[in-house]
Amino acid sequence: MTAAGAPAWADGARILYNVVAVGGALAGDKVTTGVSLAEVHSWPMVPPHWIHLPASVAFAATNVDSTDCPPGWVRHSREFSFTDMATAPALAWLRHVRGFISIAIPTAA
Amino acid sequence: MLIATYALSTGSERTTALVKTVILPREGERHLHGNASFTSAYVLRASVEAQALGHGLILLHSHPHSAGWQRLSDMDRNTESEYERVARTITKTPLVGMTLGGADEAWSARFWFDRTAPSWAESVRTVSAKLKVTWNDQLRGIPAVTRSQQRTVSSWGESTQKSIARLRILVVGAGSVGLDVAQRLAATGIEEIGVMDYDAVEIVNLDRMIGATRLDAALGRAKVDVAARLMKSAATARRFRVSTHEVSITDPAGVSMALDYDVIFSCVDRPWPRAVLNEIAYSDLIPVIDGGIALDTFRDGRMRNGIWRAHTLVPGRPCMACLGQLVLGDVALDKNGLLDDPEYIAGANREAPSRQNVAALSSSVSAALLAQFVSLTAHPGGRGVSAPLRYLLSTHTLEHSAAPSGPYCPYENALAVGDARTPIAEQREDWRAIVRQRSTKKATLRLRGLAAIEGILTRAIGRLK
Ligand SMILES: [Zn+2]
Repeated sequence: MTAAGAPAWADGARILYNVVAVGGALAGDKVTTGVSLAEVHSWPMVPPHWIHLPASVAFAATNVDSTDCPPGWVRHSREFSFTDMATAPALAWLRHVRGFISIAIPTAA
Repeated sequence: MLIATYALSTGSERTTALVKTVILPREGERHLHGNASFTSAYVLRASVEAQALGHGLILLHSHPHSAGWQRLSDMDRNTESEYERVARTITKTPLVGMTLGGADEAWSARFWFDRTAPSWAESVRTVSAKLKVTWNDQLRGIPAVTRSQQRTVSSWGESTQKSIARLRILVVGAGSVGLDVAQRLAATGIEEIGVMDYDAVEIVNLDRMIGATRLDAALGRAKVDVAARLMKSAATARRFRVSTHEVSITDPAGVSMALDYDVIFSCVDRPWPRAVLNEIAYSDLIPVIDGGIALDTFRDGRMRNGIWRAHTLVPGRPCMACLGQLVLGDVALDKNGLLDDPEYIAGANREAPSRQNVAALSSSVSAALLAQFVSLTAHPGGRGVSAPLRYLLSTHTLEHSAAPSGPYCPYENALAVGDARTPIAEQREDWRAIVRQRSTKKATLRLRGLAAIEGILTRAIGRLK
């Protein structure tokens, strides 16, 4: 992840890192996101599925659960159709996550 | 005279040393005159370099004018025995000795577990678009050509037959394609075939599992047991052994069994098992022959198109992911059970997995896979396996894929890592519960009676010469 431009750190059952949103309600903001440790045992052969975000980040349509999440956090189910082996796996994942965060909508609050 | 390093690939019964990198001698590390033996400086430096890589050490030499599996001369034996302890002490793994018979490029090999005597390998396999195997005839006897194999042997010759027949072949998935492939391998004269599947035969399988009977479905027999019965009846080898693995390839238990085989047929369609097989092909240098079929229908239900594919995963050929035949993101979905979850499929706007298949076309898949096998092992025209192939039914075209291997492909880049492979398989209870449940299920008296009669008849026919 560091090589891909997003140094990561461990946080309990999760690995966290920062991503800057390029569009949407959070455009320009640095957002902390992450993956479940249990989902990266087979990395990079098998990429994770769930994207961790603070519960305050809202989307128009998304499936969430709270596995591995501390209070105030949720995991979003998000399909990752990684097929381009000409891209480094970490970079491909970061682009996927950045793409997701960049479609966040303003929160009601 | 050369030194190389190796990584171990440990199966449930077999251990393989995967040749990794050559360590070339430096100036002064080689005797230029007289007997060309390894200098201790070369062996010592190479051992330290191997240790740093986490590898074992291989001493290689050649017998330029000899052919076939080579034995050790007294001098070679002394050299290897002398350096055995150095290599083992530094690398913590046994020394491997290899000899090249220069006349026919046949390799032979042995492990040195102690300095008194080597433990001979059973075979040396070299894997590329062609699979070439040198067999140690003493450990794995030359199979006798039987009367029923006349036409087979006249097609590719006795020496090819004797090599192919000794390959240990695993068929993963004993459905319509796997069952067909397994029977034809048995008829080819292969002596040892394994089948791996934890599922049972059901009524809905009978339109494609040719040879499976209504009794098999009524009894809910294991697919591997049905495959074993059909293979035994089709087998032409004098000594035929079938191993039934009621196991999932997505479990470490299944992986270690798979590592005992020389060639694997991938007859499964889900992303997780296919990812596991995609890895083994490169990490453990076991060729995986993979393929499948997709049928496409119009809205009114009529057939629009059918596409079947076949490709062999070997170093130098693209893996399933590079071919676009395995979406890596789907593996996590499969592991989480989401691909079977109608709620998830609807929510994620996915198409439900296509279940269409017909017997008339599933044999095209097995035919395509078996043709890959023949190219891989018999090298017709001196060539090995083709580029990935796909046939389009509606336009009647056979296409050669030009898909390259991606520079960042994690599967192909983990070449020959052996036991250091990234674990994709995971220990799970679900498939074990299915196997257990089947073994405790009791059939009705009528079905048991029919099964007993069937058993007597099958055994009696099997005894016919
Ligand atoms: Zn690849």
